[in-house]
Amino acid sequence: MKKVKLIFAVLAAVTGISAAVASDRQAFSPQITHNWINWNNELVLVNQTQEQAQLVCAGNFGICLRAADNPYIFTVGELMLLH
Amino acid sequence: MKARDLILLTCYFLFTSMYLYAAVSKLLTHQVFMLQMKLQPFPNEFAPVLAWGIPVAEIIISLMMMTLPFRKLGLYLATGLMVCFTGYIILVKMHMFDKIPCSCGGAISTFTWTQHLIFNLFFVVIGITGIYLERRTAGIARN
Repeated sequence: MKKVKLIFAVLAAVTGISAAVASDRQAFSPQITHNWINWNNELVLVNQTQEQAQLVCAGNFGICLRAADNPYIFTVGELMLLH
Repeated sequence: MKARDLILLTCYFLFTSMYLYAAVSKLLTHQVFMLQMKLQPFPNEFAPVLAWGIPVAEIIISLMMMTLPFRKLGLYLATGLMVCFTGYIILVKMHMFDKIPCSCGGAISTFTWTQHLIFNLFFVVIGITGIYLERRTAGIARN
């Protein structure tokens, strides 16, 4: 029984970790990373993909963050306020 | 193997894989998770503590559930942590705070608060079932 418990534990760990890595790669890896600035030209995020930067913006109205190296790359919505 | 043992193994399997998935996802997008923590209704100074503390706690609890001597304690802690998260979601649902972004890792971050609540309640039930079966197993072993 001890062996079965350990095998299940290892399988659980492999399942959890590989699922997290796989979903992260699927979502973000083909993309280029940028530094992201807000409308006051303040640096908000460093080395993040567009999808990752989009996570800190709510809604889909207006431009939220802009890539510092390319003004044509941006995220939409409103930057969620940091207090 | 009895049905009780199989259910218990399933409880541990689900909890361990879910907590490791959540922890690794948070660590892989840590910068975003840190920002999301800053958006929570806690003082800003707590953000780094929570952003590191939560995934580290999840990993430690998972490792405890993987080792035979700490397995049961790990299950208690996992259930307790899930009850805390669920309580927080209930407070959000009761509009105790302003609108707050979800701070979960991976696919879970796309959940609405209601979906998140259902997901957490499912794991609370899993935890309570596991604890009940562990206690019953210990009771049978004593008699």
